[in-house]
Amino acid sequence: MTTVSTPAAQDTPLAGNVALVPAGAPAWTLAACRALMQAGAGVVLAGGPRNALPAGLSPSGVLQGAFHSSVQTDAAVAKAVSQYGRLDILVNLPQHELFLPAADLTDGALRALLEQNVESAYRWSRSAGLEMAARKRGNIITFVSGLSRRGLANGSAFAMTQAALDAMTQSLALEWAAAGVRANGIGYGWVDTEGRPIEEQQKDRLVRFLPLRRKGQLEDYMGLLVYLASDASGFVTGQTVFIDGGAMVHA
Amino acid sequence: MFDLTGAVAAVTGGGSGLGLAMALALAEAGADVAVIGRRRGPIEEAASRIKDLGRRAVAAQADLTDGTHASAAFNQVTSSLGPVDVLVNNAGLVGGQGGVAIWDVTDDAWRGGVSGILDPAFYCSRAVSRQMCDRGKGKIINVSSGLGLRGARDNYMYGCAKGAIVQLTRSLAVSLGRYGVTANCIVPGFFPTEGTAASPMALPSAEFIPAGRVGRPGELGPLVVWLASAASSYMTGEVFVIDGGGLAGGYAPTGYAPVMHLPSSPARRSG
Repeated sequence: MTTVSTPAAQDTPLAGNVALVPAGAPAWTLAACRALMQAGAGVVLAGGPRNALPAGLSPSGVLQGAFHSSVQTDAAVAKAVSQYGRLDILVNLPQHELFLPAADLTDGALRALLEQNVESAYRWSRSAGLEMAARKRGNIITFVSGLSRRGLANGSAFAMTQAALDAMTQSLALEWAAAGVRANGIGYGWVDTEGRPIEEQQKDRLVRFLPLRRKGQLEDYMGLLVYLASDASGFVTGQTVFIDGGAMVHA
Repeated sequence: MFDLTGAVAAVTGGGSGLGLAMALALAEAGADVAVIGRRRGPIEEAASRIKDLGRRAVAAQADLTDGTHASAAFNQVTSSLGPVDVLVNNAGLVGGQGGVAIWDVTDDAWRGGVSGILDPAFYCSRAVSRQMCDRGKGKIINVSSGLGLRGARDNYMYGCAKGAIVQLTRSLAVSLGRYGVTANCIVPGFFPTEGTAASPMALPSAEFIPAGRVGRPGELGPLVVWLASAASSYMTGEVFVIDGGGLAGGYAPTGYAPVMHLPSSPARRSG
């Protein structure tokens, strides 16, 4: 039996690993890349134009370009592997939130949301997962909103995309488990990416409704990201773990 | 398909509230009904109303938190009406379980609060299941609560016991399925009855229910008839929520409906 260290037991549990991170919502992208790099992983950021990179973030590599087809994501994965020698981790970050009355949602907006939130994550997961399966090691981590499991007025399309990501995670976990590839979800609740003070947040009815009386911060998710990305979670697959201040258990 | 003619149903706590509504619905669908409860007046009144519908009925008085009493009650029901085809585990002592900080919950309050709700469901299921299995048919319908699926502040005994009833349903379904006996669970939302009016657990205002109103006890009737009938014969171990949409949400306050558009050039953001 192999010995597994917990992330806390070592400073860099991801040392020697290469993570591919397709750019998502900017604040999430910055926080996730930093957390992975701090944990010792090499990070290859895909899709973000270099001049849009947040200050202070210098990933191992940047793959610029359009990624609208599996041909493009396959090529990006192959390039990452050829340049950095391996691919251990794929992170599908939060992309776009869209809250509109169903009556107001155009066909075009619906298609765009499905493309950005669902189909893109699927293509990246398939391209990276097949490469990982061939190497008998890999780890796909997908951010999934709690609205995948709870309804919200004006959230029909967004919630649908999140349920799709949750379902994708469970099925890919089974399909590639024997090939040594894990797939897990990080469930997120209501998150304040701007760092508003808690006292100010609590003026919102939504925040007073949450059992922990605050929105999530990006940092709330990074420990789980590193844990799921590391071998410390080697027996965890097919799970979406929710960090939402208790919203999911609220009556 | 929903006809219950000739079936014998037993409804615990059937003398009042949701139990009475379900007992009457089963009788209207054709079942003979045993009404089991603690208070003689209400169960006899319920039995009388069922007889007025042209069905056979019996009122059996019992303290169902006592296993021996529960078994005796079902012996009485079987000798009066015949073997039980449908058991509705509705009885539960409600009151005094909520609104108390955990450090103020006494041992007696904890044990009494949980057992008053959970024990009748277990003892009555135990009392009927051997006979159901021997006959190769039977339907057990448990009544839980939204608070058995989600947490509520300062609510321990009620939520724990109702959550346990969901799990009792699953255990019964998995254990008895091979004998042709099914077990399912109804999760009612907020249905005001004379019992809840006396309970310290406050009902929410209708504005917090997506349907905009609380439930009417009669609305449970078609659901319990369906679960009691052959129409649901392949359904077991399931939880059926009837709550005006309350549990469909819960990730934000009721009525919270944000508006947020996509960025103007979304096609460039697929990365």
